[in-house]
Amino acid sequence: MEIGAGAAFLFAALCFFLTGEELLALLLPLCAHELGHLGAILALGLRPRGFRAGPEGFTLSYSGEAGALAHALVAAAGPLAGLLYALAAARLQGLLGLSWLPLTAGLSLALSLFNLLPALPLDGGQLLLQLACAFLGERRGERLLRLLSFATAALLLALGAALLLRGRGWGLLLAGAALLFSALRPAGLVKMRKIR
Amino acid sequence: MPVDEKKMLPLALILLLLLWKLCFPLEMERLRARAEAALFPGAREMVETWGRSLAPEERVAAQGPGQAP
Repeated sequence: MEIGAGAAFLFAALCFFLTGEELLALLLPLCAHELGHLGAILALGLRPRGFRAGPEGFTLSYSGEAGALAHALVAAAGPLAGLLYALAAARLQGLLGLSWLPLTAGLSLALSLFNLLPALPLDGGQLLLQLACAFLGERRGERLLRLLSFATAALLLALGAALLLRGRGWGLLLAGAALLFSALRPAGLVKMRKIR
Repeated sequence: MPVDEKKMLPLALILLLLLWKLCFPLEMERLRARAEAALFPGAREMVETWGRSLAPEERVAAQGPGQAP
């Protein structure tokens, strides 16, 4: 397990700006997401090898022989677990009445949908990468995903700029810039590394 | 015991920020409000609305009276 300096700085900023409840509301969906990946890795008979927290997110490494569909399932399991967590938290709000449950449900929904965007190194990009490589071959599949990643980042940047001009803040523009930066870095291409 | 400076720096920053938060809560609230307004104005309310919309009773209520769920 490795926690990079960037992740530690990000965590420091979150601890500073968020209340205890808000921090919990954010950390629980992140745990659900990563547990989804881990559950799929174990269920498919693969071996988890490492976990890294960086400024761009979390990276789960695993090893083992499996087909493209299995790797795609591992990628999809995180957002799926996040969506299930969001539904469970929203339903529990009616039973428990905890004030932070709608927040954690909404955060989990937003994180899962963002993660499903067709851009690397997000899970949606990983999922499409596996399928594209299986159908088009490795080189053409990677090229297609690189193009899709740039297109998605450019779309987010354009949307972010439009929102900024309407006084809706820098958030989406920064998310688009971070995605573009990740797509430009070859090392950032693969979020869940397969170790042979 | 050898100390990894790269790991100590973020830890020191976390402690420093938490200490600052404890000592100056009003200033921290002001900073938080400014950061939220700069990054995602109204984001918390929007995300909470998304969360509430996932609850089944909210969805039925949103459809209005006399309509099938």
